Amino acid sequence: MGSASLRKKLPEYPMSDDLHARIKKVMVEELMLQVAPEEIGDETPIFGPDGLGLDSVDVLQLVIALEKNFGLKISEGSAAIEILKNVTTIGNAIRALA
Amino acid sequence: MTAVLITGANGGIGQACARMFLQRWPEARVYLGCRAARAQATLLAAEFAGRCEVVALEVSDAESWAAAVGRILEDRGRLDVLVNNAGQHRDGLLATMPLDDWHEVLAANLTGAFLGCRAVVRPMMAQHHGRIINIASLSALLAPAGQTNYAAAKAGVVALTQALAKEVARAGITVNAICPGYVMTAALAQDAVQAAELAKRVPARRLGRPEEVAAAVLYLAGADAAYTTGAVLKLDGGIF
Repeated sequence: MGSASLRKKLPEYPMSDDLHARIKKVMVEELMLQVAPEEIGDETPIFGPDGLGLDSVDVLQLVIALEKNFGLKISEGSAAIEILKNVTTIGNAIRALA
Repeated sequence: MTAVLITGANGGIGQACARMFLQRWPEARVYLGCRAARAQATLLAAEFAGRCEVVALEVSDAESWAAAVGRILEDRGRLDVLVNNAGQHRDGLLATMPLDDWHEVLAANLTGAFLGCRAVVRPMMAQHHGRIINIASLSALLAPAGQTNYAAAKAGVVALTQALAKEVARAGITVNAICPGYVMTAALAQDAVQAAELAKRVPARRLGRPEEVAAAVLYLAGADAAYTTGAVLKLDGGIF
């Protein structure tokens, strides 16, 4: 089987950098964060004093924005905590939808 | 187009609110949330056909809220204003109050408002815009004997309003309460003696009109009230 036909069978996942950039842009716009998207590291914690410092209302707004922009539905509980650790974990959850 | 949902839309205040939105907001589509009694709501929907419809809504039932709000979102793609107007009285002394009277009044007035807010908050947050107006009562601020259930429920609505306002302000959603005093109802319009007795208790020497409550609702729903949230507006002719 040639490489061209193999490429046709693979789903087109967005490049990590593109997806992460889109996630950061959504976060800044929807949460009205006072930072530029590119200043948010992929591993920057969403929660906690060393991270973005979001509160529970911000997190709810983020959950709603991720569903609106990426179709990612996050239910409450431990799964949500894992997904919302940082931009990388959010990106992984979005890619898992494909 | 602005989508407005009004509960308790078959009664005097609900009808006045709906009519005023339809007359003064040409872009509004108004949904009249009603339980079993809906004769007046049906007439209004017919009068404003194409811009007004009745939706079945039992305010103390979370699934009923989900169905009603889902219907509106499917129809309009958005929900801009919720007027939590549905309410119920079962007056009586606490010492002899049946437990059902306590539970029913709390369910209709307080739980209903809570469930309504809960049903619309997420869509409104996604829109970055929303107006929630909770119709409480002067009884929330000046609780009369015979209304331990109703006064407690409406005081709860006021507190819910103020707490929720803080939660959703950054999302462009305002949440405010209106506390009407004595308002002329269809029943009081038929009982001139009782209406006159009540009017004597009011410094303004008259009962309020449903249209006066509706005007306050429209103000709080509009762009001019974008910085007004967590407010408690009493309309009582000076009683309190």
